[in-house]
Amino acid sequence: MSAAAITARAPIPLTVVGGFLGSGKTSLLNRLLQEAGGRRLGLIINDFGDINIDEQLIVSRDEEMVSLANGCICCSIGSDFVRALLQLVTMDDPPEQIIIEASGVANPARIAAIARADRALMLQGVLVLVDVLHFCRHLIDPLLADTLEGQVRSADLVLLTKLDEAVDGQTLQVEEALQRIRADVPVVRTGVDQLPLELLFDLPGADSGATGQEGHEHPFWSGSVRFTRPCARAALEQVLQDLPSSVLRLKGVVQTAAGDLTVQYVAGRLQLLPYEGAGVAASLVFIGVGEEQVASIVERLLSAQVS
Amino acid sequence: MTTTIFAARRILTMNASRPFATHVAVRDGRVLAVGTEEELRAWGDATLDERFADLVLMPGLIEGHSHLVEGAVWDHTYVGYYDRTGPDGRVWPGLKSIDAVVERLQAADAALADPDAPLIAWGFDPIFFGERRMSAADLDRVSTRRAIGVFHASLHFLNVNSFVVDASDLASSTDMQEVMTDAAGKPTGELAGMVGMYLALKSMKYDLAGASTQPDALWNFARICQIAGVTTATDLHSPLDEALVARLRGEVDKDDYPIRLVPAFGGTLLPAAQGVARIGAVQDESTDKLKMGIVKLVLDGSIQGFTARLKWPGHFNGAPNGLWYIAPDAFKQLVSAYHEAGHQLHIHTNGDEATELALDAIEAALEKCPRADHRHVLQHCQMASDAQFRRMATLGVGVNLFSNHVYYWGDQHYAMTLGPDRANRIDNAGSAMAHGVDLALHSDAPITAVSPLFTAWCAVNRVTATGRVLGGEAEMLTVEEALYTITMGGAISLKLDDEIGSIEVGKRADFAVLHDDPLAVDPMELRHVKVWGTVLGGRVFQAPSV
Repeated sequence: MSAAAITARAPIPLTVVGGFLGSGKTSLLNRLLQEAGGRRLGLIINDFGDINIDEQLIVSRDEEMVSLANGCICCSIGSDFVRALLQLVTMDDPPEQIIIEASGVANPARIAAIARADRALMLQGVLVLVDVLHFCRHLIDPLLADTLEGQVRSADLVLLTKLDEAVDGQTLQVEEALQRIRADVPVVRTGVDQLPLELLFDLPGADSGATGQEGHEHPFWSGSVRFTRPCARAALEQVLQDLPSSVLRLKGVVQTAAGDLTVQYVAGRLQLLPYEGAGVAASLVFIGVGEEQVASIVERLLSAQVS
Repeated sequence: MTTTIFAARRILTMNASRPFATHVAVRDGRVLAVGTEEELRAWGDATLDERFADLVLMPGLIEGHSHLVEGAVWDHTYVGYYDRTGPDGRVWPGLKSIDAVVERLQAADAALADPDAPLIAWGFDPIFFGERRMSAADLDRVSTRRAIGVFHASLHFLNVNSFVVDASDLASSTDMQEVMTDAAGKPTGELAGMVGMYLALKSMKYDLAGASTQPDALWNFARICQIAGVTTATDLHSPLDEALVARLRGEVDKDDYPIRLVPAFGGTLLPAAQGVARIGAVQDESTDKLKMGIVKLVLDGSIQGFTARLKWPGHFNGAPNGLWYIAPDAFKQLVSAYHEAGHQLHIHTNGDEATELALDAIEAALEKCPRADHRHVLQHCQMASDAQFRRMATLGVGVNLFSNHVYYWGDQHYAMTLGPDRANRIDNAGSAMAHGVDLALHSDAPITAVSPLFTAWCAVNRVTATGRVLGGEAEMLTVEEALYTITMGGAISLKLDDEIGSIEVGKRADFAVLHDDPLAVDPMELRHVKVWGTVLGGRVFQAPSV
């Protein structure tokens, strides 16, 4: 496929999954493969050997890539992570979403940087797994402390894992340690098995009629706002930049005096691009974790409309 | 059974029992005898070859830490600060200004027939141009119609032109450390890390690793070595899969391929059990010229890139500590796995914290599984303390120091990365020797040029690019010691000292042929000693020249 054709495609959402050895990254990847739900995922993983791939589902495989009957593709990081990623991005029929397992000592932000620098990709977020059983012990290891702290600092969302094996007070200790490293870090406390996978996947479009996840079994909430008037671009940018870190993602289309804009907001990073389509309702959807703040977010967003 | 007697002005044998001679007899590719012509004639009929009568012979030089990528970079335009010799013997003068770089690129652009082909250059080093950084605007003077990428000497940074900037999403990514910006916050076209590598591969199909094992690159690599007097060189991180081994054998085993090649298996490319199985199977395919069995592990990054793991007090300029490339516990398990399988490990450690961890891992592996003469080697190991050298000596660990750093980055280590104390003792060959640690020296080509005589010069004089001398005499080698280190030292570090490294009876007839006697020149002139060519297994290879 020509470079121009690739550039013209909608960007592929990319999620980076980081965390130290033993934090549960492989379990999460295994869950993703089981529950892809028709999504054609492209996974870049550290070690094929650890992944449960049902042999019956394998359509083709070589040393570095396995294609599955459900449309998912697994790539081994092998000798060259950059090459593995590029192989997925430049496929004639690329995955709908790419999920990268960072190595246990990698800073996931450095991998996420690629998604931000390439128009063919759109950074969906950096999820860092923290194993509550070992995190505090690793933090006092002078060889590891800075590596783990760097991972937490680069996270858009921290997922606590192995909670069911924790002893009294252990989880609380980990949460306090995370706060010390980064006071505003959004944390979900579900473990790998209970994590709502929606957190990793792209948000449904605003026009799909998404509604808030009100149920208490979910650690996250979501909402949407429909605009009746155009937005002032400067005011909108300000509102978005001031959103609390508990808002993980936001997307949609707004009208401004200078034309329609596509809004992409991922964990504090904002992208506004001219909207090329036509006839879409001006609306935004968003998703957040922690204390529910749908009403206040809606109010803030509406304030960006011209009066 | 023919015998050839080579006559030379002088032969430096590196064999203590007969350090100097004028004649060497070669039979079946091996050294039959060394001495005077009369002594050698006693072995019977021989042909006297006098082409070296005015030249000086040394054992073939050994490059114990290089990469085949050196053979692939020459497909692209060299724009480094220092003169560098290409595989055809052509000397590319160093470029002393950004304008000079642009000029050479303009010439390369004009010579590139395909209007859509990317223009790729390498070897650029911004540290020599002070505050003035190269920008996309500079490269736009070459072309805005094709992608241009100029790789820095480290190969971890690059500059691109507007063509590449515009094709990517850099303008909205200026808060990232990988994307350099100007005073106005606009991307300058200078990129770091994986972002740079990714965009380079995507927009320019820049695939050095892939190109480096193609036949052309293998030959270019060998010629670069030959020109430097090198007869045995390493490729110190290789996948060594079946197809690659077949390709290597297809070229290296040819009679006219001018070097012996020692690839090291990259020990993290496969899970430990599979890696052990692969290198175990592959080593049996070794030949006289292709030697497989050693394993490379990379534990941290580089000092000049601020990615090495340093002990207290860390970086002189306050930069945070560097990166582990393997998690410490996982590293210990890998060391143990390859150690127990009987392989020799070559472990990349730049910072002293990484060196400490490597020694801990080897000590633990040895306690669990004692092994005579494992001879594991720490590669680079640029910040080793006396205490660490003492541990190396006790554990039987050798070291291969990156002496070229003293010259190329010594000033940066003094002013920025390490500060005066630790810069003065960087690549402390004198200390290694004083502690009885087996010592080799290297170039890490293509990071710096393959030239063991230059590397020896660095270890002897310890002079930086600006003329500062790092450390006292205690860290300097004598010329004799340095010459031993780039021959026997290299052989010992590769466990090939029974075959190569000295000119003595029974060893392979591998020689470096020199115009001057390195023991007779001023030690400051050692780097300028001219190489005529090499002899490999008795076969003469005159260096190409332009």
